[in-house]
Amino acid sequence: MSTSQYFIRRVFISIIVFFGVSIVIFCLARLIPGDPARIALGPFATKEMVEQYREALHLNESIFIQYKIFIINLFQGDLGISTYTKRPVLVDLISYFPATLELVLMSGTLMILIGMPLGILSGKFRDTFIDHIARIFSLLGVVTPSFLWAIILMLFFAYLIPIFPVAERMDERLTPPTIVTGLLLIDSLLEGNFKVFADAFSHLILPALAIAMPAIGNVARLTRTNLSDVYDKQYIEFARSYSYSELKIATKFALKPASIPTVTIIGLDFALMLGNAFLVETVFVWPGMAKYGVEVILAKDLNGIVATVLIITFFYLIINMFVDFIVLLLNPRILKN
Amino acid sequence: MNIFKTKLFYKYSRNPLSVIGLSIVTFVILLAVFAPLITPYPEHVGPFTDFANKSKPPSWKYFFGTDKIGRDIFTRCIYGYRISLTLGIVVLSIAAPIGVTMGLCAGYIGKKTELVLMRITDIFLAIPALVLAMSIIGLLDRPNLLYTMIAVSMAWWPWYTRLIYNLTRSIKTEGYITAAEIMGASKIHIMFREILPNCLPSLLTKITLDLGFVILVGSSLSFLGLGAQPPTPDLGTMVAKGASLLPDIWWYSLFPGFAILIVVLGFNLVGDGLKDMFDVDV
Amino acid sequence: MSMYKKLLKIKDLELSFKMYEGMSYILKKINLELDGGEKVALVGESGSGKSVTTKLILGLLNQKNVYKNGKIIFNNRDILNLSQNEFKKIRGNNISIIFQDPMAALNPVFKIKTQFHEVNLNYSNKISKKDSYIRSCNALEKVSIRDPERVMESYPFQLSGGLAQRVVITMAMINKPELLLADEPSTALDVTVQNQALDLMDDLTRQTNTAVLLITHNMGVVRKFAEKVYVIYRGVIVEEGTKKQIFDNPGHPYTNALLNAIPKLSGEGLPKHDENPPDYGLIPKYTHKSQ
Repeated sequence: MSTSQYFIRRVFISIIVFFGVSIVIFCLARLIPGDPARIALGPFATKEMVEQYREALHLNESIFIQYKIFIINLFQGDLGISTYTKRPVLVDLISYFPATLELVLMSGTLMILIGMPLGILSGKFRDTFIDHIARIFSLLGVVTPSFLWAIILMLFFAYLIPIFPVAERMDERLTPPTIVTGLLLIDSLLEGNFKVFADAFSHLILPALAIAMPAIGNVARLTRTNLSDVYDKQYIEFARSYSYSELKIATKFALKPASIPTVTIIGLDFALMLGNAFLVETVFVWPGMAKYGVEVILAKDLNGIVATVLIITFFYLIINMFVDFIVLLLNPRILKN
Repeated sequence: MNIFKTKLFYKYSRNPLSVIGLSIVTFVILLAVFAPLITPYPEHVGPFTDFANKSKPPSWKYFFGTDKIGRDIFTRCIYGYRISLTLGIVVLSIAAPIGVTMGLCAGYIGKKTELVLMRITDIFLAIPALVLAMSIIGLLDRPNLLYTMIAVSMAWWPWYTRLIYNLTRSIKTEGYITAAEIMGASKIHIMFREILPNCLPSLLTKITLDLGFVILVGSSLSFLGLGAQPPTPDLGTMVAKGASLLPDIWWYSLFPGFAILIVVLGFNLVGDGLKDMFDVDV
Repeated sequence: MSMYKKLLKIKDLELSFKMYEGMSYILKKINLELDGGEKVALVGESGSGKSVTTKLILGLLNQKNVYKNGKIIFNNRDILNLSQNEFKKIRGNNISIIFQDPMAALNPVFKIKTQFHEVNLNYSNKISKKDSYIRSCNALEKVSIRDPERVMESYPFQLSGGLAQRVVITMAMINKPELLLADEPSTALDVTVQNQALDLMDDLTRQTNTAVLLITHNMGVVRKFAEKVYVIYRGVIVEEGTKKQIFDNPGHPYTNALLNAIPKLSGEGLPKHDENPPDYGLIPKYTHKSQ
């Protein structure tokens, strides 16, 4: 199988899965107990209003037709009106998504930048003091819920040692940069506005860390195990017997095979972090998709809930394809099948 | 068979962390089971108010302090363990059998079954677990503990399917499976009496680790208000209620939070110990 | 006797590991000699300590709980306790090693050319990738690999076991080492392939006058390949002699046991299982007189 064949196959499967998810969440949304129209309009609506609402949303038709309409609307960008914000859901998504995107991307960066070196250090200096400290840290990361990390980080860095702010993305007194990508860090850099960049960064770091901690722990532990396993392998002994430089072994010949399972875990950990975003955005009052998601769930806004699930899934599928591609680069054996 | 004398247990106990984990888990279970006998104020669990003693810091009278309406947080944490453990056990009792059965069928019965079942599994795996559970609860009428259990179960079973599917695929090429097939054993027999027993080490390890993680997810859901409702003492709900009172009234959030940490840590350490002992990969 | 200088002289080599339960004595005063260009076999069963000897020669046993004593004299220099830096100059250059499973020895995620390049760096640490490639291709052609470019661009899993073994042997010999350590070469492969690999080794080492220390448990391989034989049992050399002496006139009961275990074409079957074998360690060493 060639690289492009593999790629096309992956995209195809992802599309099928995405449609599957849309079916599942759509069915769940339509099969709930209670009348969506009544929930949306509230207890004071008259029978006629409810009936009108039901007609407008095609709620009396069969579920297949409803799904067909839903998909057609989806492709036209119409995700319905949110009963919570009273705006089109698409507008809600566009305004809130960049904040979450930036947060999750930052968390991912932290996961790799902190998790992998931690694991490498642990693996290289196995059973030493460094290793033990790193392992305790990783373990605590894995077993502590993200919302608790958020609270602890908040207490520490905002109240005990006030370095970082605890709410919003940016200081209100500063002017935001012109919106190009919606990501404050990038937009401010594009403008050369370092003051805003630093401010946005300081707002970003605590929530991103809270989201990333379990993933950091996971990645560190796994990297450590993989690296140890690889160092025990015969091809490393062979490399030593043939005088490959020790540095090259550590950074190339041992690292590459060890990275393969780690990269796979990084993909799965993004799912973990996407879930954690919902908790952390709530604690830090971060104006993102996840906080919106929590609010629409509590408010029983069907359109909002469906849209949130779809966009999170979409995002996750893209990340997974990306991860698979990187694994392919690292591990040529995949194409064998 | 005295389990403490077996070779496996000896191997398990060589790792001090695993032993610590087992102690923590045992301790938590005992606390939960004997809660009414241990806790100083069992009546604080139900509808109870004592505004005179509200928001008192930790003291000898109230070990973890009191909450906004005067209830003892220590008592409520111990009872909270009951909720957490119940959640873990119920969720896994639903998710594991469903997931395992689907995994066995997908791995062994045939190509068509494999395709259908694994695609369904992929679909559920494409939605991050917390998000799926949240939306299910959100779509039901009123959040409560039962709905939490259902929602988390629905998010959890695919992981068992995937694990058992992978194991089944490698086991089915083994000689004893071929032997059983030749002797005319039915597919059901082979799946449940030949393949499944060989999956047990991985399965047990995963279940142990998952007990911790289900509690983690469950407390995250109740933190958002999607779990057991007041006055039921749920650890996640308590952290949420106390979050708005930070930083001055820190005991309301931190003690339940650490309670969650401890129980998840315990199950995690035991699971890791099992992983080393059985030498498996989940 | 031979007029060559003694290339390798192992004198009273001791090796023990400190374990939780106590000391574990692996090698108990081993003595072994190798002339330049000579082919010597070290035969013994699993756990006798034969593999660990090669690791000591290459300086690959440096953990904290390892205790070494004695001398390993290579080219008139005691290399037992050299620093890793100094070993780096010797490994891949003066002394090479072949392992039993070529697939395990090659790194699965790098192409053959990358792995060859590292070996070539021992020859000249400024060699360019292009020159390295050419040098490797030439070496592969010399061992009857007709399309060296395809092999160079492949990953190890794309090669057959036999081909991989040839590649590994080529890597070992490309810098014309003075000593080749062969640790149960090709035991992981089919017997016919193993035969070919041994022939190839024989061929190449003859051309470059490389001495070979062959570690094996297989007396058939010994008979095919070795000039001189050392028999090792539980960390002790129990017999040494030329091939002819060992096979015609084994002196030590353990050697006898090893020879008897070879299945015979005459159909006599394997010897009866000895319920109470003697403790071979208690029986002193048998040295054949030099001829």
